[in-house]
Amino acid sequence: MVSTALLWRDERLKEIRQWQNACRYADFIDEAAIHQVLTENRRPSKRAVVDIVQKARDNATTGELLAPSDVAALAHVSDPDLWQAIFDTADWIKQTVYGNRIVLFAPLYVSSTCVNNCAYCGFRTTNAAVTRRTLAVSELQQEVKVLVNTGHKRLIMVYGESPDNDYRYICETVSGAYGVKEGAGEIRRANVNAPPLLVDEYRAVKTVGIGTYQVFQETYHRPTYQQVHPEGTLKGEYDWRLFSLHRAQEAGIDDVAIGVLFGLYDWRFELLGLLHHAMALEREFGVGPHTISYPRLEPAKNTPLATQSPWLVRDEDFCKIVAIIRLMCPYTGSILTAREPPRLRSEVIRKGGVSQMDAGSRIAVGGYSRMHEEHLPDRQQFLLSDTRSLDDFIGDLCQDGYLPSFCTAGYREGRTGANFMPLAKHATVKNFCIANGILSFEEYLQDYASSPVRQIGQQTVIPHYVRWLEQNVPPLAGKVRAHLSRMREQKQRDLHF
Amino acid sequence: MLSSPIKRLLEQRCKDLCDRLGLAQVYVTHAFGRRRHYLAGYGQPLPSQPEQMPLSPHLVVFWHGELSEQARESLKADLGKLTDFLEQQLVGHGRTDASSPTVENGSVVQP
Repeated sequence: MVSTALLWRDERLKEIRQWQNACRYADFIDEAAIHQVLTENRRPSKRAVVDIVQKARDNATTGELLAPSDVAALAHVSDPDLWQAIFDTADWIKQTVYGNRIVLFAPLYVSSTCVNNCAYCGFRTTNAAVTRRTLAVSELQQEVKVLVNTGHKRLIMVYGESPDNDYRYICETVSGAYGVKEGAGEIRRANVNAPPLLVDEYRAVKTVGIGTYQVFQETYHRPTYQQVHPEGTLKGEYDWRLFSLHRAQEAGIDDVAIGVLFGLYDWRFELLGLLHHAMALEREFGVGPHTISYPRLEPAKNTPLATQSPWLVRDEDFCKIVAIIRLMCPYTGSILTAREPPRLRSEVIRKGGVSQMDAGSRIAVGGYSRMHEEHLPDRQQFLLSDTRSLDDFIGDLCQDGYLPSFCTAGYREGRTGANFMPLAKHATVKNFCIANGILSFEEYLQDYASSPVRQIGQQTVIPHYVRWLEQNVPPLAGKVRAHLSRMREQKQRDLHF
Repeated sequence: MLSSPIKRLLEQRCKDLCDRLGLAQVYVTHAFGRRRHYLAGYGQPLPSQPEQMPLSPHLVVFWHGELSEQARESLKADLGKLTDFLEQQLVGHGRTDASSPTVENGSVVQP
């Protein structure tokens, strides 16, 4: 078995290197230039920062990105008053573009077999302390049933890299997840976090109707990248990964997502890496990243780097990172995961302008079938910090005045790629977001919520956001009220705009 | 993925339909399971659910605005002229060869 995997890896590596040798894309990560812009903007004046913050506000309705020098300057701000202005602006941009809703999803770890040996990852091939598993489709469907029965409608399906979980397996498992029906519940959008593929492989994955394809570069800093991703492994090939979403776009997958694993290298450098990645995608395809993720290194079993890296990010800096991402790329979805503890998550939602979060998460392969066990360290990539149930999490969001959303309407109504971008860039997407958030939340309240959550949801949250529609998009408010009546009186489901 | 000339042709058709039928937006999508994958279109959406109509096994047209039954047929007939061509393009992933139709001067040319 091991030798089969190694043979597969070596064959795959040949294909990857062939692609890299023929790569037609220009490198967009110029390390020297990034270091230079960071150095030049080490001590920004108060006036300069105020101007950048105003520029970010202006960009919220044009979709323009901040310049690298702007991001470098923000990353060096030390004045607490200026930071407050940045946090306020991050929240304002989020409200302006998406409204006050938080889209909810669940991670679903499908396979942990992996031929890579990444120094920070619990699933690395030489880590004997973690048990590997690749779910059969029937096992995966059991996991999905558990999630559907808690009210989830959106997944991010996470895959290792091995011959057991190639693109064909991705197709089978995504189709398997979509095939689950439990009463009125089902998965309506399956996003994918999986290894980089060849163009024809992406084309195959596209045909099963995925939502977004995520590939995180982990670190944009080449020397660090090479240090933590050993030579001779598939993930050791930096350019293959850097242009993975270019290939996805070539294949017609137009909702792509980028991210960094913060803690591997200097967070200021990584922010500029993300910005240059967004700029490169826009330049080449006219469509920027659908979402940006910013996981931090978390402890994992038998993985010392995860706790000893010299670049670990403090909570205070983490808030800054999330806020700067919101200012630099106003149209993109911003994903805050349950890696972070509840108290920090509550703080970062507001300070960072977060738009999507997971809840009720388990990250062991097969972990949802053992829902009562919060952690299964010998089966997990890392340890989660927020293990609140979906219902408890939603209750907390409601208390804080947010609209929890299970919306999956956009990609089913053709609002993808170049059709989605203008809505987000011109900040009109919030009309759909709030309306669909109300309807999808009402569905949750009727079918899955505990009594206290149903009470606050139906008596406070939904009326509040219907009033918001009445004041801001009156034609939509009437239609939403009509849909709510159909849902309550005729038990209709999946009504959306 | 559509090639640029085909995308432009489709955008022009959608613009013509918006002008002729008084629609706010018309766009054509490729169906993959639940996903309606945007191919090309014209206009801005209204704050409402778009109407939709299948054009072929894989293609679905969406529009924002009011359409009479007769206007729907007109829209379907207009885009229907491109449907076979688009299906061929999409099955061939946008690659063209000597046996594929092409776009010249805003029209589809069969080989």
